[in-house]
Amino acid sequence: MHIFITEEFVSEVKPISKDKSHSDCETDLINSIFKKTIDEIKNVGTKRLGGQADKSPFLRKRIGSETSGKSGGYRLYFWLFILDKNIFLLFIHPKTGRRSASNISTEKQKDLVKTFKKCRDENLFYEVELDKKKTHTI
Amino acid sequence: MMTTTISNIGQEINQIISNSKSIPAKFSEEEKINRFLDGINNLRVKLVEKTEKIQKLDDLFSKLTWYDVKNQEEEDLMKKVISKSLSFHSKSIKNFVSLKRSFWKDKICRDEITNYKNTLDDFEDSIYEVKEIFFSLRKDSEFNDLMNSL
Repeated sequence: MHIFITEEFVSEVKPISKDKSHSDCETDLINSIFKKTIDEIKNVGTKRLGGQADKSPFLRKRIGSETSGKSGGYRLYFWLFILDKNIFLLFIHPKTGRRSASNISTEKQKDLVKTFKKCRDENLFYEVELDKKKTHTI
Repeated sequence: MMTTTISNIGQEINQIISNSKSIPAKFSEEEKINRFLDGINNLRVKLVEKTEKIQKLDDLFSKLTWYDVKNQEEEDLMKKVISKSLSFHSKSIKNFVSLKRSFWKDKICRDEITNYKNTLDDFEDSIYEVKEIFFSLRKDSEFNDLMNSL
């Protein structure tokens, strides 16, 4: 399983990880995506927005306090595609804090699919791996 | 024989009367504390059970999204499930408000009450997400064309 990200995902993660309440968002990402199998990613707190369930699902995943070990109200949301056993992370937002939102619009979600298509067709995805200690992404 | 019998019965009556103590009209302090603690434990168990039920509902809402609505019957069922779940959520929120009003200031079951509220918030998010997924996003022709073009 390979994990890919977009420019937009990087530009979203950076300010979120600077926020005090989400400073461990990289760890959350590692624990809930990098250290999981595709089935585990699909089955825990994940809703299918569209796409074929077994081949190319477009998903919204919630990471809560049970995964992160944080206080009860802690929530992070990821938008991702799973295709050919690879994960494509497209967007992230927290539920609380300055960069929070309760949800994103239908239009924004369509934009994410367009971004996915463009990045795939023009080879604009960046592959991300864990470092040797498996505590950070590179 | 008769005297012996009367004597025996009399003794038995006396024994019962002397062994019979009045039922205290008030609880002792120890009993009061025990009943209070039992009440808190029962409340804690009920809150944990209700929270687990709502988490289960939340999981089921996630599972729904892995299916596609195939006909009008399924669409009507989805609408009913969403409507019923919103009513249940609203009723549960009122329950949360009265629980908080009764127990929060005395610091009783605060963690359980907070978890209950967080789980209810997740459940509410899930209901609206599922509604949006089935009745907006998957009915949007541009979204479907995009997904088919991948």
